Order: sequence, then C-alpha cells, then structure tokens
Amino acid sequence: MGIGNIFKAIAGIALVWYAPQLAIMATGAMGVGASALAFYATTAAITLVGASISGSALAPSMGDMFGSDSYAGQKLKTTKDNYSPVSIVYGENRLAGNIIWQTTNSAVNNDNSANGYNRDYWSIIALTGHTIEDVLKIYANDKTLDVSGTYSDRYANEYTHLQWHNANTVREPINDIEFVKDNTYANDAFTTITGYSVGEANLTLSTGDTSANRDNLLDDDDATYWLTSNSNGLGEYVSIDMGATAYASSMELTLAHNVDTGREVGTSWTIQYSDNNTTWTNANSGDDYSFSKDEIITINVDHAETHRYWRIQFDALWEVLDNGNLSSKQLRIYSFKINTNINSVIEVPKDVAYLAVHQVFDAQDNKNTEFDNLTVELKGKKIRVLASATTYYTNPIYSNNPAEIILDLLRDTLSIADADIDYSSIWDAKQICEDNEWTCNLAVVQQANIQSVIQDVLGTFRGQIVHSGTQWKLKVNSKETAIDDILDDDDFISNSLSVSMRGNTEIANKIIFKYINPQDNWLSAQVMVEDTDLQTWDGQTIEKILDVKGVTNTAQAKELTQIALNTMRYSEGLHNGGEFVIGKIYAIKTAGTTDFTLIGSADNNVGTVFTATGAGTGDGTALYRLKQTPLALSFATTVKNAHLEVGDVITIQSDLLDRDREFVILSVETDQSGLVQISTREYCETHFRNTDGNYVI
Amino acid sequence: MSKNLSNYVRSDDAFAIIHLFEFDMYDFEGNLDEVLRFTDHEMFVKYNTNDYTPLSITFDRLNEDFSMSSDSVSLSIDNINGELTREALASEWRNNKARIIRFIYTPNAQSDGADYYDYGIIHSEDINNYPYIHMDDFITAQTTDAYYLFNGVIDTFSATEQALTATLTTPFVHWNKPYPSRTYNQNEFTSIVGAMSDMVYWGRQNIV
Repeated sequence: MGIGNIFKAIAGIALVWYAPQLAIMATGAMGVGASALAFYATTAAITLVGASISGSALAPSMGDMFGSDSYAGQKLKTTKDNYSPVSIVYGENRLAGNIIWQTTNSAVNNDNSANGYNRDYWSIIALTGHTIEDVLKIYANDKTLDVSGTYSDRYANEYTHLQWHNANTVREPINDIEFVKDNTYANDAFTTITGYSVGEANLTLSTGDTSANRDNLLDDDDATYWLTSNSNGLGEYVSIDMGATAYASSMELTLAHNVDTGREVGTSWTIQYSDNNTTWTNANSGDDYSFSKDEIITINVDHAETHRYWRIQFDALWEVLDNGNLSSKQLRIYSFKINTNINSVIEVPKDVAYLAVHQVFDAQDNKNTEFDNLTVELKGKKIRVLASATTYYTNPIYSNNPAEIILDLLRDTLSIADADIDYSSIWDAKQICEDNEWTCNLAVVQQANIQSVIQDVLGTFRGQIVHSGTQWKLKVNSKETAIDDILDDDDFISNSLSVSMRGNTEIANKIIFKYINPQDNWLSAQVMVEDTDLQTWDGQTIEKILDVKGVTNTAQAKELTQIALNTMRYSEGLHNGGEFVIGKIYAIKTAGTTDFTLIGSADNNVGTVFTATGAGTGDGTALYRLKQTPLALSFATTVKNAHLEVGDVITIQSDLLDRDREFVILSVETDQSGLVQISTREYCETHFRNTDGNYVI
Repeated sequence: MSKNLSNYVRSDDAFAIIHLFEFDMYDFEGNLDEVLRFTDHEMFVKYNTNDYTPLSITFDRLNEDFSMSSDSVSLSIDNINGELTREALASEWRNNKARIIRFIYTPNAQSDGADYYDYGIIHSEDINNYPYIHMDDFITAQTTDAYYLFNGVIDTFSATEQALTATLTTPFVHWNKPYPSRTYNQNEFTSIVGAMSDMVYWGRQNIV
C-alpha cells in the first residue's frame, strides 16, 4: 500500500467519526474484522476529521469538504470567480456572494479632483442559486444593516446602496434592476447612468450601402445618412440588432433635414421594436416636430419593456405651413443612440438571488474610498414541507427541519421519484427533530460529493438513510425507538451468534463537537464532553472530533455530543426491587409491585428518574447507566426474519447474554438461499440520558 | 420493519423460495423496448399477469446498511447456445433498471383425480402449454410473501459461451456527483469573465 492508499484508508476510517450517527453505528459494526484499521481511527481521526471527509470511500472523485473552522471564514468572503459553485443555503445562514457583474462611471456623481473620478461603482453579487425566503440582515464590513421586508436601504452616509433581489424565473436585464428600491433620491437607478452609444451593434439599413454607412451613422455627429421619404408615407428605415444578450428600453434619436424652403419642416416617424426581427410593434411615434434646415433635434424614446431589435421608420417630411408632403426629400439621421451599455452582457441568470450594489467613491477626507465586504444573513431555500405522513404542502415553504432538507436533497438533487421515497419515515424523522428542536442551517458554498452534503445534514439529527426494497428511508435512532421484534435462540442458525466488544483504543472518552455559532459571527465553535473516570480506566485521553457544519445551535451541539459519547461508552443495567443501590441514579422501567416513592422516587411512573435511598421491594425494575462499552452482535437467520431491516431495534434473548438486551440493526445481508445475516450494535435507552439520569433530548 | 411477512413465513413453515428477475430493456433511441423476466425456478412463473422464463440464474449476495455506498450484486445466467447473448447484445444494458423479487410461498394441497398432493403447484389445464406456477391465482395469498429484494441498475455486462454475467448496483451509484452542480461558468453567467478581467476604474481616471 502506497502512501496515498494509506491516506485513503485513514481518511475512510476518519469518516466514521465525521458525523455522529456514523460513529454511533460504527461502534458496533466494526467488530473484529476492522480491528486492524482501528489504530488509525483513534489517532488519525483527530487530525483528519475536521478537515476532510472526502478522500474516503464515499467520495472517491471529489475534492475535500472543508471543516467548520475554514467553512465559516470562507463563506464570509466576497468572491469574484467563474469556478465556484452557486451556493445553496438550507435554513438560516450568513454568507457572502460572488460578483458576477460590475462597472463604473461618473454619470451620477460627477468627476472632480476633490472627490474623484469614475465615482460610481455598480455590481451584482450573486448569493444563492435558488429562491430564498428572506434576507434578515446585510453586513458591510463591521456595519450591520437591518433589512425590513423585502428591501434594503442605503447606509454609510449614502455612499453605499444595497438592494437584494430574490431569484427570478427568467433572466433579468441589468437595466431593469433597481439598485435602491422605491428610491426617493435621484440618480440611484443604474439606468440613469447609462447613455452609451450602441457602438458595435448590428445595424441594418433598408437601402444603401450598410457597411459603408454604419459607423458614421452611429458614432459621428456629422454622420450623413439620408433616408428618403416616399410620397405615400411609407418611408425607409434604419434598424438595430442589439444582439442576443443585450436589450434596450430607451434611446435617443438626433435628426436634421436638408430641405431649404425657408420655412419650418415637419417630420413624422415611428419607433418600433421586435424580438424576432420580423414582427414589429410601434413603441413610440410622433409628428409634431418642426424644425429648420440643419437644425438638429433630439427625440427621446422611453419604453417600458426591453427588446432586442429596434428601428426608426421615416414616414414623411412636409412643410408645416402648407401641410404638404415634400416628396423626394431626405431626412438626415445624425445618431441613433441606445441607452444601454451593450458591451456588457447585462443579464442576471434566472434562479439566482442577488444583491445589487452601488457604491460612491469620495476621496474628500477619505470618506469612502474602499469597497465594503458585503455579507448577508438570510433564510434560505424553500423546500417541500410535509403536512402529515402522507401529505405535503403544494408550494415550497421555508424550512430548516433536517428531515425535510434530506427530502429536498433526495427529490431535487438526486431526482428520486416520490413513489420511491418512504414519506412516513421522513415524517417520523421530522417529528423527532421538532420535538428535540433540532435544526439544520447549512450553506453549501463549496462543491462536494452529494453524499458528503447529505452526511452533513444527517449529522445534525443522528439520521441515517437506507435503501430498502424499492424505497429510500430515513431513520433516526432516538429515545422513542420502539422495539420491532424479539429474537431468541430459535431464530439463530446454530453457532452463528457472535458477540464482541471493542477494545480500549477503538473508542473515545472525550468528544469534541465542532459547529457554527451564529452569535460568534457565524464562526466555528465547539463543545466538549468527557468522562474523566473513563480516561483513568483507559489510561489515556482518547479524543474524537465530530465536525457538523449544519449545527448552529449550542444546545443541539451539546445534546449530540453527549449522546455520541454515551453511545460509544455506556450501556445500561437493570435492577429489580430489592437490588437497588443507595445513591445510584435510576429510571423506572416497569413499576410492578414496587413502591418507588419509598426509595426516593417522586412517583411510580415509568421513566421517572430517582436516586435510590434504599434497596426497595417488589418486582419493579429500573435502569441505570453502566460504564460498559456497548456490544456488537451478529447472527445468521432464515427468511422468517426477512422482515427486519436496517435501523430496526430488536430484543435479543440468548444464553450468550447475561440478560435480554436490545440491539439496533446496522446491516442486513442475504443471498439466494434465503440466508439472512444481520449485524447489530447495542441500543440503550440510557444513551439519551445525561449523568443525572435526565433525558438529554 | 419494511416487510410484512405472513405468519406462515414467520413460523418457518414456508415451502420454498424463488426469485423473479426483471430487466428493463431500452432500444438505442432510449425507448423502453421490453422487460425481460426470468426466474431461478425450474418452471415458468406467472405473476402479476407476466410470465417469467426459467433460467439457470444465480446471484451472490445483497446487502443493506447505512453506509450510503454503492453495493453491487453479481448475477450470472447460463448462456445456452448463445441465444441469450445475441439477444442481449442487441440492446444497451448499462444503466437499465433491474429488479429482484423474492417470492416465499407454500402451495395449497391439491387433488388431481385420485391423486392428492400436499403441495399442489402445477397448473396445466392447457396441455399445449408449459406447466407453470400461477402466483396470481393458484396459490392463496395467505401463504405467499413477495417483496423486492433488490432495485437498482445494471452496471457491467459480459458474456462467454458458458455464461452471461452482469453486475447490478444499488441506486447509490448515482450519488457520486458534485453538489451544487451549478457553477459561475460563463455560459450561464455571461458577464462573469468581464467582471473578473476588466479593470475597474473606481475613483480614478481611465486615461487611454
């Protein structure tokens, strides 16, 4: 095995600890066969887990996912590149964007030596590749801008203007974008700073040598191209093709004529637009312009819509006083200006939520001479939300429930048909997340293997995905897990039952959980749970790092950390009436004939936690936390147990065990003969309790 | 629990297990051409009005776990006189859907004239037809259990004069792809290159 392969093997084991749910399952799943690699798990995972999930067997062809340490910092920096992914944001998060268009000029804030030149900067910063629920705050460096409703407002002494826009279903021309919504101050809309000549637009003349006249016609004030009026009023025209990606909604036209009658001359003209260069629609027309020979007039056309093709049709010239047409006379067009910057491809792609930015340079007293780093705190993607185990809301709704995010990834990203998804399992998982107030707030800002992203989400709620039969199912190992079946020695093929326990070096006595803390600028934070008694017994501190970026809640992080350690190191014991140990913490499992109130319990209800004050009497039972590494158990059975699937919890009754124990199924394997091989890990209700005996969740 | 097995199976009283194999075959234009149906039983099987042809077909093992990694199943079919190969090579196999259905059953007792069978399984009213097991009709529901054992796609395919071999993979094979798939490439974000490469003259003159 070369160095590279060694690294992959180590990284593959590191993956086990990356997400808590995998760690939990792996505790029992590895068994003897994996012991050779176990050394790497305890040593290498510490350094690899936070930085790398990929390189593992799950993500063979993608680059590394970065851990929460670098994740938070990276997503808060505005970028400007063409290789980053368009971010996807589930839940609430703060992130910067990618500049997809920018320009400067001085049309709004005039040039001068005191304040600077080209003082206006305009840019579009793409935020997400989907419709978002809302923008909560906008940050400009260390300034915080509250956003009310849909629109942001200007800030920083009016030097910077921001406006966020939600994703549209069609491409949006820049000219249609408002940089400050409902602006009451002049000159904030980008359209007011335009005014460029068409330049290289594709120009077509209805007569004459188009190639010879094109440039002069458009660029030079003394251009001379003459359109001839017909006596019947159907005149020649000049048209402009803006190109496939540039559109215009306003323009100005400068005209003169060469009719020397000594009297004013009128003209009639029509501005038309088209999207296909075939069907033309009147945008504007007029006939009230009267002017003398060589007098230049300007006609402004402002149309509500943007279109690719425009043309002016010259209808007639006439002497105003006589009101008669001047046949065979010519109208001279000086310029035909389109009020847009055609050199920029100025459209925002569809399905992109973005920030429109305007910043004003002011060198006087260095008032505003640097670009701000803009970040946005937003509520992200709208996804399918379940109304019940069998129904869902028709329209996507914002949700940061991890189970529904998983559903979105299955449906939207992996295109799995609804019929192939076990919606009731999604619903069950959703309920558990709601009960525990577990959320997932994940910004996917770096391209990664889809499995890595799913692992990130699953890690926020101890979820697991299994494909069983024809359906995808979501499983959550929680305290409410019901016992699915009871198996005894009659179910096991002879000599197939195997029980094992992991060695000291394969487990942890200290868990560090890295997550994202919104209260700390959305940077990485961590919580730690350790058992010093275990460390004494183990003779060393064995530390594991769980790195779950989707967790943004300290309480959730603590709960997941505690459960992870419990699942790794603790089992549970059962005492009957008469066996209770004074000072030990119990949770009542069966009340029976025992009066628990006589030995410290507040009542006799199942689940009540109490510290025993006596041995008690009767046949009631109570659980207590036992510092025993959970068992791994595997066995072979027949098709009679083919109903069991991964994630099920079963009770095992066997002579090999000191008592009936519960196990969660980690894998089910079968072959053509019908033999069913099942691997399990011990399941304990006390895994979900803290040292005081109270439920963690 | 994903499968509701009958008490007959749960009490280990099932008579036999057979497997039904289904392969969706597409023509070269991507249209569904036909569904090939086989069984590892020795007789024809009729199930859901479809006929499953008996073939010597084997598979190794099927696994379900939490790893979310693609698992593969090797499937081998006897290539009798090469007919199957010729048929197979006339289509595209890769990425076609494949399903394996496990059928656990116990036939009812049956009398045929003076003969009494504890497990009557032959249905051959028409002597011109092959005998077959009629899962839809002949065997009562209370003693049959059917569930999907595998639902995935064909990955590799090979054939020799002796056998036709295919590797089936679980749907997780499709999970190995980048996400988000959309990047700021210039085909979609047509202004991105200009934004990256054009000099920004902000606060200073652009003197040519």
